Amino acid sequence: MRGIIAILTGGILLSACSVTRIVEPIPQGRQEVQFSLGGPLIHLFGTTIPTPLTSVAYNYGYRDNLTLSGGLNITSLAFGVIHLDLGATYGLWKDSLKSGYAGLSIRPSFYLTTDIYRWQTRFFPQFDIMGYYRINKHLVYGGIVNFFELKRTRAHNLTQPKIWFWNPTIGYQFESEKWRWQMELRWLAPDVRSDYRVPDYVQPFGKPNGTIGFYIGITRKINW
Amino acid sequence: MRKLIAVGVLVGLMTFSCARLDSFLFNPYKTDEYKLDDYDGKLQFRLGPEFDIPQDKIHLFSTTSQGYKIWGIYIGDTTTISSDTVILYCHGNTGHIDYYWQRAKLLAHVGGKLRYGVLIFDYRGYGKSEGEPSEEAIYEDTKAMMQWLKDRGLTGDRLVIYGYSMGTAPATYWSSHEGPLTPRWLILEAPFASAELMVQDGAYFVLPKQYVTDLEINNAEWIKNAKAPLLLFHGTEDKLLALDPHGKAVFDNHPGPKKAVFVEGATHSDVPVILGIEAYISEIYNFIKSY
Repeated sequence: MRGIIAILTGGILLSACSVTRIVEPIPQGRQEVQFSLGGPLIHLFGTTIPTPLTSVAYNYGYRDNLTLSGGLNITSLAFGVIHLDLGATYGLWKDSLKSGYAGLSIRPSFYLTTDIYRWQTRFFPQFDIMGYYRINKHLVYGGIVNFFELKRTRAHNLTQPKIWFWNPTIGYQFESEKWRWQMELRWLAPDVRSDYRVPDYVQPFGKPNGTIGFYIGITRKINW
Repeated sequence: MRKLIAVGVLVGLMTFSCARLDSFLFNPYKTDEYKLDDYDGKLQFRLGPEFDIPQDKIHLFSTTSQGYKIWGIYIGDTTTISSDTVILYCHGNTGHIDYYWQRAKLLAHVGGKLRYGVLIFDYRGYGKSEGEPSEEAIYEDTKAMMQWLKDRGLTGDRLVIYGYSMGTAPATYWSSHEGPLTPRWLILEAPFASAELMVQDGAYFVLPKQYVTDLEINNAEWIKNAKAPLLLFHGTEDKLLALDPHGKAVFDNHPGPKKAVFVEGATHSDVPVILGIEAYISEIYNFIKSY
């Protein structure tokens, strides 16, 4: 039973955190479609796998420093949960630095989830802040993904133990003329114990706190 | 055209996205023959010869539940059920009767060898029992076993219902809903509070359980209506169904009388061993004698 519940709940653990993200805003008027795969790492059936979450997103360069994006979690949809991710990436700062340039961006967003069985709807805000450094086709980035649970109580009127989930994140992007490939590692909920949970989460650094999320993304540039 | 196909795929997914993983939650192990003490599978513990049960006190039987043949073993004398006190053991999700046989033998030694009758059985899809497991099946199959006992003269005031892990669901359910018998005592080991809390605890977020499962298991709410006094065992190192929140939510919601035995260092499956065999037996015996 543990394995399947691991998939079920692990698949949802912070899955609302978009699988991969826009770090550097795209130029004004440009559009792209992004496919992402990955999730929290769990021990399952004798091996370690990332929870296989998939999502598809559309990004639009509203201004040179502002990209609007909307995504749909496909894995959730397959199980009757409509899971939308709407947000905007805003470039706060960008400057030349040696052979490339560095920048800082924020991404306020929210997740809207509802199921097709009872139409129970939840709303989760998120706020990401990322620093990045680009050299030609390569971009490395790091920052914090912040996810918020607005409800104060959970089942049986128990107190929801955690409201703010902060998730240190690092990633790498490689860019070609038409495509962008992305890899991302995220330490999910490092200040929350993960060892007394039904899913058998991978616990990084030998500590029973949080778990590691691994994600990959492929983006197709449409009108670049 | 491409847009149309894309929209069609999405609409199709939404329309037909009735995929649920509930049936995979169950972990039934099948067997053609129960081996009991000769079972060589992995066990949490094996009892010594002092806990052996005489062959003439082991009764393999079957009954039907919603048309399916399900199997059980009664430890004791089936001709004296009408005057005996009986412990009905609802096992967990892993394995089948063989896997829980040592536990059944322990219960057959509460208050002395064969003082109480013990009935252990396999739900639909487990062991030799026919059919496929489901949430409804575990309730109905437990009910069928209660009916089997009732048909042999047992009354509710001599029935102890014991649930372990997944088995806490039917045990709690039949302690709070009308069935063939109303148990006089309720013993739960490593219970989970509800499907909803399981989802929320695993996901960290307050998610509706319908996002994940159709299971309606809700021990923490059902137990509010339980008439039977409660004895609850839970290991403090249970990493599958943590004492807090699961065990504590169930215990807190029981109206009483009740007793909790939180076993320091015990995990999900070794409470009797970590607590100590004699202490475990004594707790159960004292509980039964007290109420």
